[in-house]
Formats: sequence, C-alpha cells, structure tokens
Amino acid sequence: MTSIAPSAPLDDEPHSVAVGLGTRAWASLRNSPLTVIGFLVCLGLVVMAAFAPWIAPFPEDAGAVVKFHQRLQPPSAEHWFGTDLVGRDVLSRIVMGSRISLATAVAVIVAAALIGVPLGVIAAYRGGWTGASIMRINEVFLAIPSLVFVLVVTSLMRPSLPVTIFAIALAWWTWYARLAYGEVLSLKEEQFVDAARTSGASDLRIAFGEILPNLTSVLIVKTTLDLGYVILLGASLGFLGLGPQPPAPEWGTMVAEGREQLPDAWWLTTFPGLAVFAAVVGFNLFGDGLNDILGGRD
Amino acid sequence: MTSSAAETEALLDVRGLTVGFTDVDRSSVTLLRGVDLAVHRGEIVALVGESGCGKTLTTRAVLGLLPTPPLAVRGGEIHFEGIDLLAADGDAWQELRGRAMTLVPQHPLSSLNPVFTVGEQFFDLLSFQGQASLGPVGYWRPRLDRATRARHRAATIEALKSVSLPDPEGLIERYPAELSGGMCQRVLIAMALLSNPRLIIADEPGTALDVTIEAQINRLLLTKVREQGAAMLYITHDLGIARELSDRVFVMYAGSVVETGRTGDVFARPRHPYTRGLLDAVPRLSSAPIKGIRGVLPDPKTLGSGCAFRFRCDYAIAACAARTPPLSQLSGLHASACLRAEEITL
Amino acid sequence: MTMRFVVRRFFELAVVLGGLAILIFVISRVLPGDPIRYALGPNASPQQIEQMRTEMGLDESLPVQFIRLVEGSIAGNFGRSTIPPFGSVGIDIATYLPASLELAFFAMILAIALGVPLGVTAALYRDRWPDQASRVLAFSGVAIPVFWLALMIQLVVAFRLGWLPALGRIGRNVAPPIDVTGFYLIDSLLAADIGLFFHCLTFLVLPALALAASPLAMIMRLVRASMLEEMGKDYVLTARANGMPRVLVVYKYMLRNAFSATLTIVGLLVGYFVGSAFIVETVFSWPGLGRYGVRALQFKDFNAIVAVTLVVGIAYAAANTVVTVLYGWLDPRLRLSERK
Repeated sequence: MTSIAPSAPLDDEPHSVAVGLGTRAWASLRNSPLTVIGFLVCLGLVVMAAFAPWIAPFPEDAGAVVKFHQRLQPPSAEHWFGTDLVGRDVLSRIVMGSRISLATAVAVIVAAALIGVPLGVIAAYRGGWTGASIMRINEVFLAIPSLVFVLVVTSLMRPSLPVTIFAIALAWWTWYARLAYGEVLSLKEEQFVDAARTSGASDLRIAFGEILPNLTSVLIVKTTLDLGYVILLGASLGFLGLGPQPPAPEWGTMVAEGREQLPDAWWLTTFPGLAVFAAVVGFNLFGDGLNDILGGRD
Repeated sequence: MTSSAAETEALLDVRGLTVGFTDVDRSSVTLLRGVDLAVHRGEIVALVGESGCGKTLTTRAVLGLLPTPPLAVRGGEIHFEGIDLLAADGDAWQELRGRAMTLVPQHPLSSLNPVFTVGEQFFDLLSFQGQASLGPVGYWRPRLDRATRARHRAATIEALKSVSLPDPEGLIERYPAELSGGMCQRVLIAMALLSNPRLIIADEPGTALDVTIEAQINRLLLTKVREQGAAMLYITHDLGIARELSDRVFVMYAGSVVETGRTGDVFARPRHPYTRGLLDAVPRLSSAPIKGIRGVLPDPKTLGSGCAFRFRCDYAIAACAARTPPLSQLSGLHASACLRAEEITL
Repeated sequence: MTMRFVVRRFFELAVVLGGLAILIFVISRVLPGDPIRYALGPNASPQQIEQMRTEMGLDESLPVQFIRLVEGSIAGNFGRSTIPPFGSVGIDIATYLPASLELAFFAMILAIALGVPLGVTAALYRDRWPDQASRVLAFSGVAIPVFWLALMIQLVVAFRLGWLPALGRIGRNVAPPIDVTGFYLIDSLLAADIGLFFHCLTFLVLPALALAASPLAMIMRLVRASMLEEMGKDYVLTARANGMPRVLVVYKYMLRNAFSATLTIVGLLVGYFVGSAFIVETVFSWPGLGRYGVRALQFKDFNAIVAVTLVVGIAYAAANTVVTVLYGWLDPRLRLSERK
C-alpha cells in the first residue's frame, strides 16, 4: 500500500495464474524432498535388480557356494556387509536378492490388479446379485489378516517363489476389488456417465471405457505403495521359512538364517532387514508424493 | 478515525488491520489491506460487502482466532475498551472471548459440536468460559459436584428460555443433529449472550436459513442486543438487512473499508462508486432492471497498489492506479476511500 | 445400541465366518501338497498314511468332512495335532490363546496411549519440527519389517544392553501366577504379588513394543489428519469464540470427533496385530497362538493350521464388531440414524 507502483493501464484486469498439473507437480516436488528421495530409492532398486550380477562384487555367492575360509567375517573393506555362516558375501546376496523381491512385488501387483480391478468395476457397475456376491466373497478373503492367509496357503503347498507370488496375489486382489468398487460406486453417478448412457454406449463400454480411465491416478498411487507392502509381506514370509527356500538370497530368509547367529554376527540380520526397510520406505515416499502430485486424497 | 471523541469512546477500534499469508511459491499475499473499523458502546454496526471481500476474516482477526499459520497479522491495531489486543499477549483475548465479545456464527448447523448434547456444551461454557488453562482436576471438579450441576442446569434452561426455545428441559438432552437450523441458531445465540457480552459479532447469522426463519433470528438478535445494552457488529451481504438493522455501516471491498457513515446517510447518498453499485444491484419489487457491477473481485495475489475497485469502476482515472486512496472524512461520520468522492455525483 | 443392530451385526459375522470356514476348507483340501505324507516323514509306509487319513477323517466325502469341520469348530474340537506330542489342538489353543491376547492388548494400549497424543501434537505443530519428526516416524513405522524391528530391539535392549529379558513370558525358574484370567499381569495383581507383576512386565515390554510400533505410527498419522480436518470446522471456531479454553477444545471437542474417524481404521489395525503377532511371538519365543501357528505352518500340522486360522478369523471379526459398536457409541449421529 505504501509503495507507488508504475500506473497500470486501466483495462489491465488482474488475472489469476492458471496452475496446471505440471506446475503443481513441480511445486510439490520442490516442497517435498522426501518424494525425490523416494523416487531415487525406487530407481536405485530397479537399477540394482536389473544389473545385479554386474553390481554384486561376488555374484556367485547368491547360490549354494561354500567359502569356509572366510566365514562369519564382520563388515570390512572387502566385504562391506560381512560374510555369512558359509563365507558368502552378504552385500552380494542382498544385491542379487533385490531381483527376488522386485519380481515378487511386480508379479503380485499385476496379477492382483488384473483380477481385482475388473471384479470391483463389475461389482459396482452391475450391482444387484452379481455385485453382492463378488463383494461377499471379497469380505470372506478379508476375514483373516493377509499375512495369515498367505502363510496358510503357502504352508499347504511347497514353498517356492511361484508359490509365494500365487499366495500373495490370491490375498491381494481383494484390495484392488475394494478400491475399484468404491471409486466406481461414486463415479457411477457422475454426469459424464449419464451422458455416455444417453448417447447409447453399452454397459461394458461405459464401465471400462468411460469409468475405468478415471481410476488411473488412484491405481498408480495404490500400485506404488503396494509394491513396498508386497516386498514387506514377501520378506515376512521368507523370515518364517515359508518363502523361496535357501540358498535363494531372499531378504527375509537371510534375516531368519542370520537370526541363529545373534547376538554375535549382527550384520547377518541387520543389513538384509535394512534392505527391506529401504525398499518399502522408498515406495512409500514415492507413492505418497505421487498422491500429492496427482491430487489424490490423504 | 472519524473524530477524536470517537477514538476515546470506541468499544472496538480497528486501525489499519493488515492480514496476509505466504503462498506456496513464497510470494506474499495480502487479504486485508488496512481495515479501519470502529464500534461504539450499544451501537449496531453493519459490515457489508460481496463474498470474499474479507468481512469474515475481519471478524476472526477481531476475535483473535485467525488460522495462524498460514495467515498472519502483518500490521495495524485492534483496540477493545482501550486495550491494544495485538500488543497484549494471547491470554488477554481469552479473557474477553465469550465474556466481553462473542460470535453468532454463519452456519448454525455445523457450529455446535455434533458429538455432545446441547446441555453438555452449555455445561462446559458455564464452567470454563474465559479460563486460560484447564487441567484434569479442574475439568472433573464441576462435573462431580451436584450443586454445580444443578446450578448449571438451571442456568442453561434459563438461557434456552430466553431465546424462546420450546421445551428447554428436553433440549438439554438433545444432540445438534436432532435440531433444525433455526433452533441451532437460537441455541448459539443463547450461548453468545450467556455472560452479557459488550460486543456481539454476528457473522451472517441468517444466511444459511430460510427467509422467514432469518427474519425471526434477526428480530431475536436485535431484541436481545437492545435488552442487554450490548453493541453488535453485524456482517452481511444483504443491504436490505443492513439498512433495517444498523445505526452505522461499513462497506468493504477487496480487503479494505471503502465507505462508512450513518446507515441513512450512506444509503441515501453513497459517496463511493462501489457502494452505488451495490445499491443498484439490490433487486426490487418493481419492473426496473437490476444493474450489476461488471467484472469480478480482483485476485489478491496480483492486486498491487492503487484503488482496488478501479478495474470495475466507471469513474476510474489514471490517478486511481497510482496509489491506494485512504478513507477520508467527508462530513460528520461519513467517509469514503474514493479519490473523486468530492467531484463525482453518484 | 439397539437390539436390532446387534442382531444384524451377529448375522453378518456368522455369514463371514461361514464363508471363512468354506474358504479354509477349500484351501486345505484342494491345494496340492500332502500334509500327511509330510507329517509322517519320507519313510512312512502306505499303510501308515492310510491309517492316519482314516484317523483324521480325510477318507470321507468332502461334504461330510466339511460338516465335521463345522461341528468340531463349534464344539472347540479340532482333532489331534499331527506333530509330536500329538496333543489335542483344542486344548493347545486354549493354552496358548491367553498369552497372545495379553500381548496384543498391551501392545494396543501402548499404540493408542502413545499414538493419539503424538498425533494431536503433530497436528497442533503442523509443518514445524514435531510434525516433521512425526512424519519420519510414521514412514519408518509402516515401512519397517516387524521381524527385523523385533530382532533389532532384542539385539540392542536385551542382548547388548541386557536391560530386559530377550525370550519367553516369564523367568525359567519362576512359577506363573494362579490362573484366573490367563493374563499374567492381571493374575499377579489378583494374587497381590507386585514383584511377580513387574517380573512379567519386563518380559512383556519388548515384544509389545515391537508389535505396537507400526500401529502406533498409523494411529499417530490418522489422528493428525483427522485433527487437522477438525481444526477447520465451524464448531471449533464457535467454541473458541465463546471463550472455551483451547485445551478443552482440542482434547475434548476436536479429539472426540477425530478419534471416531480414527476408530474406523483401528479395525484394520487389529488384523495387523494378529498377523504381526505370528512374527513377534516367534522372535521373542512368546508362548502364544502366533508361535504355535508358525510351528504348525512350518511342520504342516494340518488340524492345527485349520484351527488357528478359524480362531484368528473369529478373533478378528469379534474385534471388528467391538470397534463398530464403539464407533456407534462415540458418534451420536450414527446412533440417531440407527434409531430412525
């Protein structure tokens, strides 16, 4: 009020700045270094998994190798994360193990989304008897905690990577069905759906052509967050001895193996656990940031 | 502001109140641009303006309840009974709120806590109003004392009766969701009048209600305020109500007061083009077409100095963009913030 | 809470549990892999396997097997364990359940007692350091693998520092209190044995902390988000404008509203508690249902797996019912709409 600005032309009406998605994304990125950190961790994990044999100092240690002369060595310049009971390099095993974790996570999410989303969309869009039965079945799957469900399924089969993926996906589709169900239920009443219906589009077309694309951002966020949670669940399974079996360098299995060497060889449990933690934090931070950028709810 | 006598006698005296916030892109946005406002004892003052002009923000600043952060008072003074509240610490305000100045809110249905009964909310008010702090012992003592409970219950019933609510005994047990908007507003008025405040701030108390209920509520407010000899700052965008109710009026535009004076004077002879525009925009029961004000409220982000109304004003000249015109006295209590107030005829 | 509501809720519960029984039955009978062969070892003769199949009723038709399962579940009779010492699964569960419940209750109390005030603080200090700290804590809390956290707590506090015992529920040479509730903490108090109470508490603290960490973080974040939402509500402004003390508005008026919003998620947290208990109990050798379940899973103890799953399902459903009822009790609007 005090400063005298150069007089503006009279017809110069103040305009509000149009804030596009790009601007908003940039602003939220700049205001949240955490999102950037999350993104970098995720990127690092993908790179690590892709180039594991080249990154790991001793890639052969991922298998059933025995190097007794260097067993249970604490972290050193040569073995950053130490060596295990039979002398394998823990860092190499963690790097190689990233392939297992990432493969599990991606496979589970793809399968779960492919099963869950269409079922949820159909349940919400069709409603009635079909919708009710889909959602009742869904509720039954949710009647016991995911971890317990997955444990039971794997234990009754022979634990292995495919079984882990199968079991987790079998539990996980319910979340996608629920999410799609809730979203579609609210979208169904929107005007653009009415418009499509009036213009004579078929139910199938409306449900998957008109409504489903609106779920994209919600699904992207959910998928990112879930990649972390599936890694966590997979590792828990491994820890309880029901994941991919040794000598597979599964992170949870490694923690379980290292547990027997506590409290002396602390590095055997600490580093694989940290790897799980870092991966989950990464996907969490990144997913949360995506949620802000894509304008999702808290 | 208008005369030296008014300065010493004013119950509430707001001078140059400036409120703003820092946006995500670190730019500074000013929402209240030096508001001048005064309410004298026992007087009914209307504060009028379009939605978004800063009326509600002004009331919140006066009550010391701005959401800070993000908002912050950047300058100005708020005097209540001679005390500069912005210079005093927060406790001074806490002693005044509810006792010396209270609020009748805009949205009666959501202004009572949904999870407690009416009686419970009165009980808390009667027990703890104006206290700066409260511990668990202090909280439970009145609740466990039978005499206090009986006294508070009687006081609650009395208060509910005084605003003509039927069946006050039953009402005590009710939850806000069981009441209509009009009933909620009566309850809220009863709460606001509970300890004979000197200033009642009514922030569009009838806007959310049906027209007939709104009229009842306004009548009730007016009666009670006169009865208690309190002053009222009545916020509204409805010029008809302002004219009917108030002794004096303040017209706000884009975060500052552009005209003030006795209600009769301002409405009969507006001295700011914006006030003229507002009056012309009031629908009448005649065939005359309504004239609106062209354009929209400017965005506070991009509004620099100069008269904020110049973009919409038929009388704007180059000088209007040069600096923000201050509120200057024309005659008696009448003041306008238009550079050309003296030369143009509205 | 109206009678109709309770009845309807129980009906829903029965439907879900019935479905769960079917699901478990299908999984346990349909999935490939033969637990009998596994239980008896690779050297078992076909006769031995056949005998055990008959003993367990696996030779009967599927519908009969299913009816047996439902009958048994209702009577608490789940058959025998297929691993040594081949005890009754029903009795095993009755033995191990109280220890799990004690751990879960204590962890839940810990999570709420710490999570709620931390969440309120984070909301009041929005975007300042307490809020930033809570954000870091929250991200760590949900991302930390509970098996790893449990091991690290055990490694540092029990093994390295030696402050608290690392394994078990009670000292090796200490007699447990007389069994009344099955909760050592309560039973020791009932027996007026304060020394024993603190002794048991030292065993309980670490596993409870490991179990509570993640729910604590979630509760904290939820309370923060709900509190921030409440802050903008009209009733807060009115209460403050009418002179109510800030403490009262925050901790009574806002928290009561915020907490009922948080409660909806506590139901999900119960599931988390149950799942994580399997891991935490294993790490701390806590003699509860979780550790029993993990052993059953690892050794393919068929009857025990089915029984533990059903019990978990019932406990989960019961906890969710309690949450729903509590929610209705906390939020009068729900009660009012229920009445209409």
